[in-house]
Amino acid sequence: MADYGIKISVPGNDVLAATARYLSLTTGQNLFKVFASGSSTVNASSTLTIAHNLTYKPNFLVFIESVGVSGQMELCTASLITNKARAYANNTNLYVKNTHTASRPIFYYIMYDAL
Amino acid sequence: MADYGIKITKTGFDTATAAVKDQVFNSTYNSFKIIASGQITISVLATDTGIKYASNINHGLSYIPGFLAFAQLRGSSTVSYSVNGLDLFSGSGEGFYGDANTTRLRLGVDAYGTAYTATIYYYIFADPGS
Repeated sequence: MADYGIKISVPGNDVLAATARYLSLTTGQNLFKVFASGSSTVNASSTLTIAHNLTYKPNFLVFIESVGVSGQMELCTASLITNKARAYANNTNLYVKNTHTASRPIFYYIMYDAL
Repeated sequence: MADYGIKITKTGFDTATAAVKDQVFNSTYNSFKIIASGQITISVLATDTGIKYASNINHGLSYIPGFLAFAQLRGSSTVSYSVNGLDLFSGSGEGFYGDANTTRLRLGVDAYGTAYTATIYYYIFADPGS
């Protein structure tokens, strides 16, 4: 196997001996590469569609404003009852569903890296 | 536009032709940069009810950062759950909450009248969450 790449250790660790957890960068392991990011607003009781057209399901992160708390963001997972939101992706789009009765700002990252 | 940077592929792919998803690093694209990480615990008392939050984790940024967190909860202390994992265990309704604003990250767990210690590991990114 070819021995190539870049490895940078965090301060206090010998780059020649450090295991991956003590490296700030190692190209021997994958890194998330951001394909697209941005902010938007999902309307009340609606689903926002963000096209990526990657032809595969990408990894993603979505942050959504907490219900009733302006200026506070939480990670959007799959919590239709408590957090009143859900984020999911298919081969062409990222979707953010808002079951709250008011619109909510979001910030999203779509990765090149596939699920 | 200047053509410069670093591109490294996964083993078995040609750097000249590999798609971005087959590269482990490409300096054209942003990567998440961790500005803080750590482990905290939340001691939930038997008398606590509702969400019990940890002390705020001040991040020192002037914007809302992206973040991730994982918690070991009362329902299973050997498994780590992702932040905003809710109603995880049938019958108990136990959950794990997290949110951030321009000054702090806040993490909390549900309390249901049973004393235990939740262990949480978090990452705060330089990259924005708003």
